[in-house]
Amino acid sequence: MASKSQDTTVTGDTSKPEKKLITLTSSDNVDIEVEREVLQCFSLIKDMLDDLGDPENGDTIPIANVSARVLKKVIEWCTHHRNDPRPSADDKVEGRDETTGPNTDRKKIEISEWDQEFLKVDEQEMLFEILLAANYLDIKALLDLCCMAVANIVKACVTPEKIRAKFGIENDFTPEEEEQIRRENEWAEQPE
Amino acid sequence: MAIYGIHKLPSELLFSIFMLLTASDLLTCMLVSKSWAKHAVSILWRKPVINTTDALRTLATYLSEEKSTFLYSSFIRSFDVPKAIRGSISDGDILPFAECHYILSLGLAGSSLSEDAVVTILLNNRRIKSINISGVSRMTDQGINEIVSVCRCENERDHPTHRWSSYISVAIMSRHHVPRFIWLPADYEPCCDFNIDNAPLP
Repeated sequence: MASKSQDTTVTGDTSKPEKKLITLTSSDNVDIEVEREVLQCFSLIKDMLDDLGDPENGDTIPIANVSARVLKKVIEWCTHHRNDPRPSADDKVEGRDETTGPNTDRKKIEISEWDQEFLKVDEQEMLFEILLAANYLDIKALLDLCCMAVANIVKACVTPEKIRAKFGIENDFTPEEEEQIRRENEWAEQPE
Repeated sequence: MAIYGIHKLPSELLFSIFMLLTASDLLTCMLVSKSWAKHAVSILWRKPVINTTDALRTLATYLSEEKSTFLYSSFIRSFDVPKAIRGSISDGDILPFAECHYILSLGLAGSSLSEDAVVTILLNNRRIKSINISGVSRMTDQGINEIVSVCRCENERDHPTHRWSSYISVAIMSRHHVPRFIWLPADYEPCCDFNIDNAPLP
């Protein structure tokens, strides 16, 4: 078994001793200490702790699908948003059903300044890794934020060519296929 | 700077992202790649939003076109005739929607369609939950009763044990020319002297 490297707590602030710390082990075997309160955001872990109780002394919670650098980003986000109102289980999930169509609001989707800074990640795959981690750890607000960020990038591209370049996607259409899809869907091209 | 890794997202996450986009954004997405087209098409066509009669006619062409890229008629769940074109569409414009089989909500308010056209569409869309025929100028009481009975039969078949839980909403013009939205229980008995003003409210 690979030896674990001990990492410092990401949440900092050890001045208040009553804050209970829980240790998570990332997929690349790094231990990260997190305040228990911050873990309330992680629905996956929260449910587990509620069911099984806190881990015994020295035990850590393995997070099999998330690497340390992604996990640290996720903890950073949850720590900043720890006091946000949490949606209750009764809240309707955006009122979406089978009959909900495309968004009719053409504006760029609003993202707070802090969140925008947070998502300005240098590493090229980081945004999608955070998105996948939020999905796996069941952090709905972070998942929604990442989806909005990706949607805004798509909106800003405006043309299929720019979208392909931005996301490194190969065009697998023949010119005829592309033209046919354009023709069949041209009704969706509405004047502003 | 390019952002890599979008191909790692499972379908449901790509759908969540596409749900935030507008119809014209989705059209752009459909032209990116085959995989993006597959994901965007069902959202774009789920509730088509059109503003002009020409756009409606173009869209309708591909509901019955056999050689189209996708089976577009299978994606439509909801359709409302927009206010701007209510006066200018005819049965022929709306009848292609009878090619669809999964429409749940249909808004035809204020249009000048015949009851035959509406019934034809309903007979092919057996899961309909809501239909607005308020102020459809060529609609007779008998037509309304026929529509109600088509909806009623289907709901009884789908929910034989929950008759009262399967309501269909039908919006019709009351005799005071005020549109009223009523819910008809599955065992509502239509009759010829159908009186909208006494119909149960939601």
